Amino acid sequence: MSPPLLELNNIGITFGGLTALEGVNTQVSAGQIKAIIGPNGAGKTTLFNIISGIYTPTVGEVTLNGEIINGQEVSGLSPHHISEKGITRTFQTIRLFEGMTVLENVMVGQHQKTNAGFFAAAFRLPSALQEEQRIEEKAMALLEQFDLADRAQEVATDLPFGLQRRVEITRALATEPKIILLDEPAAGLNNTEGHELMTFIRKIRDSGVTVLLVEHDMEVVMGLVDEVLVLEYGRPIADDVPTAVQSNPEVIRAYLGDE
Amino acid sequence: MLKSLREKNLGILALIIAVFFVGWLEQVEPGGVGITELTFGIFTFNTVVRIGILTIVVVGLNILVGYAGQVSLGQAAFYGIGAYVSAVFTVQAKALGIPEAIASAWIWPWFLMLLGVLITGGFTWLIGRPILRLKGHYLGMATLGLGIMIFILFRENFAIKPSTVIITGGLDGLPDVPRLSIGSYELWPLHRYFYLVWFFAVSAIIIGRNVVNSRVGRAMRAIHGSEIAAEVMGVDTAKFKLQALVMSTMMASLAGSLYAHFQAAVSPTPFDFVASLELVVMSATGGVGTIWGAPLGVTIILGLGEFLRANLHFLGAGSEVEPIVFGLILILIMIFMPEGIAKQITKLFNRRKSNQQTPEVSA
Repeated sequence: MSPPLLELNNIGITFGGLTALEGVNTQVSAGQIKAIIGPNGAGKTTLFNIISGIYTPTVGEVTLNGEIINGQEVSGLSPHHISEKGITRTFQTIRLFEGMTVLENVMVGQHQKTNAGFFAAAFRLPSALQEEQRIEEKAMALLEQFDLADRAQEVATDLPFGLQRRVEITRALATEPKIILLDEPAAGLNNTEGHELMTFIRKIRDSGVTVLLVEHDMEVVMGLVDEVLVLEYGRPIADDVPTAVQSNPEVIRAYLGDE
Repeated sequence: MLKSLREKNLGILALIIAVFFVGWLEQVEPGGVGITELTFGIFTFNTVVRIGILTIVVVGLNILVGYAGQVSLGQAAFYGIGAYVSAVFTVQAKALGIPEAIASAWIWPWFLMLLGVLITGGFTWLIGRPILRLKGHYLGMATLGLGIMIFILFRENFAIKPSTVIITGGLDGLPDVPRLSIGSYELWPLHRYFYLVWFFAVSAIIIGRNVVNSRVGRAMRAIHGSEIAAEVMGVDTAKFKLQALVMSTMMASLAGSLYAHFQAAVSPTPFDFVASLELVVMSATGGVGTIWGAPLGVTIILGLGEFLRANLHFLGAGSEVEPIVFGLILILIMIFMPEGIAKQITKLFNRRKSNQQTPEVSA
């Protein structure tokens, strides 16, 4: 078996006296769709914040292809470094860039693939202009791939909610990540939009990007994902294929309560 | 995309033509029919030069506040650094032991202008990172404090011991700042200086516009929208915030040097806290987040000030009534055009355009 793409080793984090996560171990292999599920307050988003470099864990480390990218000994790596290494994400509450068009939002995702600085920009040097054209084409191609091309010139925050979510995901994909973290991508979507999203996520995986998603609702993810990590009160209680997780008594207890 | 770019270049072209026209009127007949008559006495030629100088500052401020979303309530102090570097090292050259041959060379003030820009840029580059970790009101407080500290440096009577030469001139400031010249060609009378100032102002507008319409500008706007989202998109937010701050303060310093040689004197008052606030007001009136908002905002605020000063005599104690009316007008502008005048104009223009197009579509 090839080594896992992403590995979490004994991750724990405390805020003040509160332990938000403890002893989280898991692996994500390349090409997988994996879900992190659990009741409200289980620490799912906190775990995403650790993987994407927004928080540094109190103990444990995150490795990408065997390289430690987050942990006490490498603190100082900002999210933009982690993004550069190939992990990007979306947010539970959509964070599109206000006042910018769909195209511009996606072009920000290509930021690391360009390097025009202040000087080149100020004097419109040919290198900067070529670069602009290149990433504009690239962004348009992505928008076409995900059926957003006709919305390219619209202000992103003016779009319907479901489309905003797709723009946010497309923007993240523009960073050309190895792994994309989707934080509750189905939240607030209606049934039709939800189904479209599932197709969309499969499309992402088929394009070669590994998907890790947080979901609140177990039913949503069961038909979609390869593996599920279940968290409860910051601790992992199951990490397996969906069918095994569904029949796991611990998981049933966490979701339905003791009888 | 190409079309909108051409429209923007049209604006620049119109501005350049206007500059040459106003300059030419003054040149052929100084004090004759000119901008004063064309604007019914609101703008003197002198005011138009000041508009040019402040446009440079406000373009920088618009990039910092409007695009990168970082507040500065101390911008006048950086404007002051440029002015004082230019004034101190020319007026006090002898006292500072700068050889006569250097201090009297025509290139010396130009070198000081550059030096001021580098000092200001270097200084804000050093202090920028810790300060820019602050957000919103806290950043406002920090820049406000910084501005006041720099202002105090201008105001104090620093003396080199054992002699008693006063460096900054304290509250009285420094008189007799020389005019600029290129070789033996003096950039004075005023119409010559006017061309110089507006050369820099138009350049600032072009450079500002290029920067915001680039990868750098996009990164800044992303930071404004959501810092954390910009980070996970791979934008080094600390770096781009710092670049915006350094660029804006360097532009302020350049304008300060131009101001010193224009007034031929410096004193601390134009660089105090109130001046910083005025710059923010100009920026907000024109519209933060638009480069054209800078010249518009400066023109409106300076014009309004001049107009009220000239026309409120009948109310009696003009000096007290003027700020009240001024404040009232600002409140009205902010209520009815919260995004600033530049965006309001764009909106009106777009509405008219779409109104014109609608019948064609339905026909």
